[in-house]
Amino acid sequence: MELRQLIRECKKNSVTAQKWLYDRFAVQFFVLCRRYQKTDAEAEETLQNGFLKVFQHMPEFVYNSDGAFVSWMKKIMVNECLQELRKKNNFFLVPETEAAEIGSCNDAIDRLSTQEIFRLITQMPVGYRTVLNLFAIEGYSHIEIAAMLNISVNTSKSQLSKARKTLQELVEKKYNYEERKAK
Amino acid sequence: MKNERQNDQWAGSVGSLEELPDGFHFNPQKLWNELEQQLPATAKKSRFFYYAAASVLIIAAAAFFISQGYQSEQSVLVVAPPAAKPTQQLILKDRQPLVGVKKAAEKQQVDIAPTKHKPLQVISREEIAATVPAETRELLPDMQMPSQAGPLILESKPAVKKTMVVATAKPAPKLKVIHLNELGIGPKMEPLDKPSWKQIALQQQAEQEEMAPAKENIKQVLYFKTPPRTSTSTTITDNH
Repeated sequence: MELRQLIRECKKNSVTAQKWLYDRFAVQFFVLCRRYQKTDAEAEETLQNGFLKVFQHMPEFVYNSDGAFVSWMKKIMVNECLQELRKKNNFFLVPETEAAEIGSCNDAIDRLSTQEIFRLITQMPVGYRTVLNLFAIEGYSHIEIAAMLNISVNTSKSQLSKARKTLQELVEKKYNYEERKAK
Repeated sequence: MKNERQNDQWAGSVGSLEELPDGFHFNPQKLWNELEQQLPATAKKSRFFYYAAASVLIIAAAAFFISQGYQSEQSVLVVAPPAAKPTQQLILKDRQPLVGVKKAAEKQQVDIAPTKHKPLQVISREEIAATVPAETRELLPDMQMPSQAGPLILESKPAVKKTMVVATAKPAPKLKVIHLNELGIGPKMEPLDKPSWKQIALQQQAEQEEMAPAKENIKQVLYFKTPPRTSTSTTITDNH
């Protein structure tokens, strides 16, 4: 079934169409939620709430293209993740002065596969990975992130630099472990 | 510059990751079941409406058929059986159906006479003597056997006393009803007095009343009563 037709049926609250839509995007958005949330259960809960919001606000959506619809749903999922994180964590208490300590990224990260990068991101602390996700993967600017997370721009930048540094350390650890294992 | 390139690379790869890496667990069906329960009730309402409509239709159809069966039963009770007339009537007499041939009704003229017994012909001895055939062979076809149960009508002449030879049917012996106590067989039972007879009768009546309506109700609810065949209800009386 075409996405346009699926959206039209979903607007009529057809459960069958909603199931089709869910089946089509469930895994993709679970991966997105899992990048923000710490556990699988939390990611599932966020995904469920996100889909509920998608179905509830479907009548308000005006179809332009398939890409626009996917971006709209992605935005809802990201907002739902941030909302959940705000409820559970108070993770943006980093001093702004530390923003100067931004380190450059290692080339070793480029050699990692997508799944390995995903796994490393999920191992990072909540604050770091949130900014990294929003900035590096979702493509938001620091000003937008600051507004979304209710923090200053400098805090956003410092969180990102720390995230990169942590990621670099994790990659190094990974390579060291593999070298030792090979020996 | 390097970071920007890396961001673009990640956005393309990690952002559009559609397969779950190893070590992560996700059960889409389970989550959908939970999600379906929280969905707006409009779709569920419509499904409920269909079920409700179907059940109402089934109940209405069942009630209609039951009432039809009941009405046919009532109509049969109203129809009075046709009075037997001592005339010739056209009735339908079913033939025995042949194998592979449709059962057909055929019109036949049958005597339905109320008089079952023909009066016997009385012949005096003189008449017999006058008409004695030379051989007994001639007599045989004319002889009539008397009916067993029929009344005998005699045409007698009171003035002339003649001895008559009459073929009569042996009357059925009248048997006297004798109680076991009179014969002296079995244990002697004391005769019951009136109040005890009444009590027994009332008990039996109560038992019958308890049983009878329950039986009827079960029949009415569970079975569709087929109307009885009125076309073949008239039976051919014994005309012999």
